[in-house]
Amino acid sequence: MSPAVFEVQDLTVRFGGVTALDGLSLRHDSGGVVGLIGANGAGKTTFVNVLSGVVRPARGRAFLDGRDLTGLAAHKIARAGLTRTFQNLRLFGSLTVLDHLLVPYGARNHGRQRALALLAEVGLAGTESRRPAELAYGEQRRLELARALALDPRIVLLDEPLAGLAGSESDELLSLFGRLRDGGTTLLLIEHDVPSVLRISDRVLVLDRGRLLADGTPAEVASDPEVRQAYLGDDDVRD
Amino acid sequence: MTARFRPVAGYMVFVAVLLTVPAVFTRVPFYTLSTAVLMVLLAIGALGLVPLTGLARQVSIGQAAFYGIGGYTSAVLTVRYHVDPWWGLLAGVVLAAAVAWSLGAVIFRAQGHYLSLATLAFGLAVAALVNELPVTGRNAGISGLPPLRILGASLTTDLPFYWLCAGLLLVATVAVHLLLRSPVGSALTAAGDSPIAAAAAGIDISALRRTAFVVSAVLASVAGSGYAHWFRYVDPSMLGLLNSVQLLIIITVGGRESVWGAPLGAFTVVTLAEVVRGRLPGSEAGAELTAYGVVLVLSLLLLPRGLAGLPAALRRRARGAR
Repeated sequence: MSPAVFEVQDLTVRFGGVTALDGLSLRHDSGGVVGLIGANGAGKTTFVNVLSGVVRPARGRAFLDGRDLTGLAAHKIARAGLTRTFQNLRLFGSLTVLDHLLVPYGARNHGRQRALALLAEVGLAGTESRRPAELAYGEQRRLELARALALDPRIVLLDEPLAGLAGSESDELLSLFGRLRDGGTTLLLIEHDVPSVLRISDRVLVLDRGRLLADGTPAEVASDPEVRQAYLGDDDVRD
Repeated sequence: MTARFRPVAGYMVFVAVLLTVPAVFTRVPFYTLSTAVLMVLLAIGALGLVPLTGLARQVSIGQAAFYGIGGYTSAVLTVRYHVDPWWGLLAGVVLAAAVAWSLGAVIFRAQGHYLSLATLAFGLAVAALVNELPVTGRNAGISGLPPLRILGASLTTDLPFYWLCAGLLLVATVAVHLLLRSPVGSALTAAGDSPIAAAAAGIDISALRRTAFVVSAVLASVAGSGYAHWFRYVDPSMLGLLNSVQLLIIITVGGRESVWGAPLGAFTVVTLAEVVRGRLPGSEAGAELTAYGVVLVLSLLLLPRGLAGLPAALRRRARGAR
């Protein structure tokens, strides 16, 4: 069997007496967009933090393309092909937009042209010499995405990328996600905007108190009675 | 003036100032050539904190230990083993770099502000060691260091020694400037702005911080060796906590994100120390500390980017007024 794009086995994370992830196991074999939904405190961000090396699990293992990432430092995981964005924007306030794309490890090798092309791809052409504070909020979100793409990752973890965006900005970003998926990048999308997740994802995972509540296509998950009862609610599904 | 030519203009002004200091300092009351040498040596020592504290936002409270390592390595090798002073200075640099690299390997594995506490403890430990070891002369120190020599000429008076130190400061400023402008400088800035995002972008922030720490140790060691050969004497007061604090205050007042912050801060802080000496009640060190505290608070409130950030602050203000 070929290695999964990403796989976790028996992943358990505890913060004091709270179990954020409780023996989570899953694998994803093909690319596409994987939506990850769940109520607040379900363990979504913890899952992203474990995969990206920010949090070390108490138990279990995480793999990227068959390579064991468990316990690796965050920068090594990024270099291995797994990058991320953050729920609360984390940009480099002192650097220009262009430097955000040149500073990631090895990105400078691709050169300025590649960085400019990436900026154009995310709709930030012409902003190269600006600082993050001079960008609109939606542009800052796209800059963070561009930075995550600068390492040519195998998979990008997107932690609530649509939060705070207006409707048209969300639609633009979702279109961009679609183009990235078509280009072969796997996206793990954590989002509270459930209709958007169901619309764009190829597979949807539902977390509940650190455990996998449901796993399937958007249609399967939307019609799952347990999910509807625990999380979605009829109104959300009808959207 | 365009941003492109600003550094060139900065260097032209800097060289002009360094060239005119001897003429000015020997003609105006209050300043002397010795004051100028001290300012330049402190500027060299503080310059190393620009990448470490200004960019990577890591605070070392033990720089005096590296200052002392430089001074004592020079003293021990030249006085006890009759090594050429330049080899003594080089040995101090190598030893300071090796110690900083080893210390950094332990400290920077963990996230957080461990550097401050670890360097504080390290500085106290080195000072205690120097106070106890026979080879370092215990609390009496080591006297009779030979002067530095260039092309056969001994630098025994202040003026030639000033020219040497000014040349070293210029070279060190250019070197640190190039470092700040390099990809390493951008990565240090990124690691200072958001360590977690920098790591997520594949940047090894531990290795980067360690590199900046080594740079700071090397420059502090050069300043310490220079000081030792100028005074021709070293004692444990070189490693005092006040010296570490003084270097931090220099770059805070001068501007910790710019290479110009070190000379501007050294000028301001040494001037201040001279002004308060004998004019404030209490001990000399106590008066100096009080003055440092006041100037530090004023600087943080009025000029958070230091004196070097003043032109940019004025430009912003002018734009805002229009």
